Amino acid sequence: MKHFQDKSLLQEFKRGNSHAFKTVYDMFFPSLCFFAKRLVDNDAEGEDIAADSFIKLISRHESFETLPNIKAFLFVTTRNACLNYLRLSQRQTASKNDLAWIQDKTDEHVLSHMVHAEVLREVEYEIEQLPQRCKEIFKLIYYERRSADEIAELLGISINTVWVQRAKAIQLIRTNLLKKGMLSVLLCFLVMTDNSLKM
Amino acid sequence: METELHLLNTTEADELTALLLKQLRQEITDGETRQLNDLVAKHPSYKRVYERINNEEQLLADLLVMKQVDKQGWWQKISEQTVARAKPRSFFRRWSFYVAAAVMLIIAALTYRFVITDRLQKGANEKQVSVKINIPPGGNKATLTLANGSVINLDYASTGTVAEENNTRIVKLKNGELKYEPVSQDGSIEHTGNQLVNNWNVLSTPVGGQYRLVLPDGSKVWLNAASSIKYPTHFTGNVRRVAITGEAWFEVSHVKGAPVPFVVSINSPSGGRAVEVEVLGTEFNINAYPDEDAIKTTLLKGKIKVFVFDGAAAGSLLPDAEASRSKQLTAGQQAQIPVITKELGSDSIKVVNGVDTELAIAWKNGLHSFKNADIKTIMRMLGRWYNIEIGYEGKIPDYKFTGSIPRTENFSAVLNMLEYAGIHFRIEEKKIVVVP
Repeated sequence: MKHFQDKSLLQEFKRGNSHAFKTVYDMFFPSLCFFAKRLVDNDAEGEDIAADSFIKLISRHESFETLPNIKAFLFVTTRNACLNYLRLSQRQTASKNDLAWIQDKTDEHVLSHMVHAEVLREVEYEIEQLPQRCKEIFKLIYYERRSADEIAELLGISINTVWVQRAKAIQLIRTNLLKKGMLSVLLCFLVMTDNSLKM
Repeated sequence: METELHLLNTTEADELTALLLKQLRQEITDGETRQLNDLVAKHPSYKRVYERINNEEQLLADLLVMKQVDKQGWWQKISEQTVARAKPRSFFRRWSFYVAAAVMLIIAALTYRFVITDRLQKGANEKQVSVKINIPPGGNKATLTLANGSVINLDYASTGTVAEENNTRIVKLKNGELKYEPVSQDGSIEHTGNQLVNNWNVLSTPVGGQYRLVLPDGSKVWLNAASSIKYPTHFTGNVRRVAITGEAWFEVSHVKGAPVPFVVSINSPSGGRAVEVEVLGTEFNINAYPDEDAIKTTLLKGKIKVFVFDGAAAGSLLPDAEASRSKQLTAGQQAQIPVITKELGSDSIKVVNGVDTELAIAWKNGLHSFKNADIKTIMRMLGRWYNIEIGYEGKIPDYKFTGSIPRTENFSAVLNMLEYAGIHFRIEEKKIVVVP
C-alpha cells in the first residue's frame, strides 16, 4: 500500500517519465489501434494513425490532468486523423455516395467503435489481472481454442483442474472490475509504475 | 460548434460503455437495463456493438483481433519519434491543425466536465455554475491551546521551543510534529513526592489538517483532520489520561517499573455516551467522528479494553464493572460502538475479528483507503480532508468502492477518478453536490 504514496501515474506522466508513457501506451494502444483500423478499414493505416496519436500525446504530456483527458485526447485525435485520411483517399476516387458515407462515419458510427474498443480494453485488462495459472488456462481455451484434454496434457494437470480454473477465470472477470471501479484500476497502474521505477 | 457536439456524444459513448460492462458482469440493475435499451435503440451502430459484445464468441474473436498488434515494435518507433524532436513536423499530418484542435478539445473537455454536464442535468434554463475548482489537499495544520488559555497557531510557529509549562518544554520538531519534553532531571513520569499541578493542553486540527504529537511519556499520537486531543503537560498519578475527538492513532509507550495504564476518553459526539479505552502499551486507532455511525477502535498490537458507560458523564475515575460494559480486544480486532442506540448493553460493543487493519490506519500513511464503501462514506472522508461541504441531489448511486487515493492529490484529480467510476458532481463554491 505504501508504494504509490507520493507519486501517481499522472504526475509522472506530466513530468515526462518514460515509464509512465509506457504504462499509458500499454493501457490504450491496442484498443486505439482497434478503433482506428475499424474506422479506416485498413490495418496498416489504422496502426499508423494510432501511433501518430501517441506521439502527439507524449509531445504534449504536460497538458493532461486526468486519465479521462488522455483517453479523450487519444480517441478524438485518432478519429480526426481517420476522417482526414478517408477524405484524402476519397478525393482520388470521389463520388457523391462515398462522401455521404464519410459523413455517416462522423457521429454515432465513430462512437460505437469507440465503445467497442473501450469494452474490449476493459475485458482484456481483466483477463491480464487473473492469477497466473488461471490466465494461462483461460487463454489456451479461448484464444488458442485448445480442448480440455489437450490443456490437461500440456500443463500436466487433471481435466477437472482445467474446468475448475476456467470457471474461476470467468467468475473473476465478471466480478472483478466493476466492483472495484476504474479507481482501483488506475491505482493498480500506479503501483505498477512505481515498482518498475524501483527496478 | 462541431467540437462541442462531438464531446456531448462522447458522454453518451462513455455511458454506453459503462452499461455494457455492467451487463457483462451481470451487475446491471433493471433501471440500467432500460437505460441501456434506450441507448441501443438510438442508433443502429450502437445496436451492432451491443450485439457483438453480447455474443461471447464474437467478443473473444474481437479480443484476439485487438491483441494482434506489434506492441513492442510500435513502442520502439514511438519512443524514437518522441526522443528525436528534430523533424517532427514532417511526420505529422497537418500538425498545427491538430494541435489547435487538440487544445480546443481539451478546453472543451474541461468546460464540459464542469459546466455542460451541469447544464444538461439541470436543464438549459438554469444558470450555469462555472466555478473553477482548485482545491488543494489538506496538510500539517493545528492549533495548540495551553493551560493558561492562550492559543498558538502551529502553522506559523517556527521550529524549536513553542512554550514551556509546568516543567515541560513544548517543542515543534518540524512541520506537523510537536513534542513534549520533561525538563525535570529524572525525566520520570512516576508519581514523585513533589506533586505537580496537572495543566491540560489541547491540540486540535482543523478540517483539512493533521498533526503528530509526542506526549510527555513518549507515547506518539497522530491526529487526523477535524480532531483534537486533550492531555496534561505532565502525567502524574497512577493513570495516564487523555481525551480525544475525531480520529487518532496511538503508539502508547510502556512505562518503566510499575505499569501505568493509559486511558483514552472519547468525548462522545452526541454527548449521550461515554467511551474509554484502557491500555498498557500498544498501537491502535480510534475513529470517533460525529458524522460516522459508530466509534471504531482498531487494535494493531498488544491488548486493550474498551469501556462504554451507561451514564452520560465521561468517567473521571477508572471505570468499574458495575457502571460500564467492556470488551477486551486482541490484535487485528475492531470494536464498534454505535453512536445512536437507544439501549445499552454488552452488545453495544461489537467486536469484529480479522479486520483489515491497513484500512483503518491508511490515513496515517498518507492514503484515503476504503473497502466496499458507499459514496457517502467516501465523501465524508474527502470532505474532512479537502474542507468542502458535500450535498446530495436525486437518487444516490449505490455503488460500492474499494481503493486508495493518495492524500496528496488535488481534489479535482480525486473528483475525476470518481467521475470515471460513474459518480457525477455539480460544483458550487466550497460545495460539491453528488448528482445522479
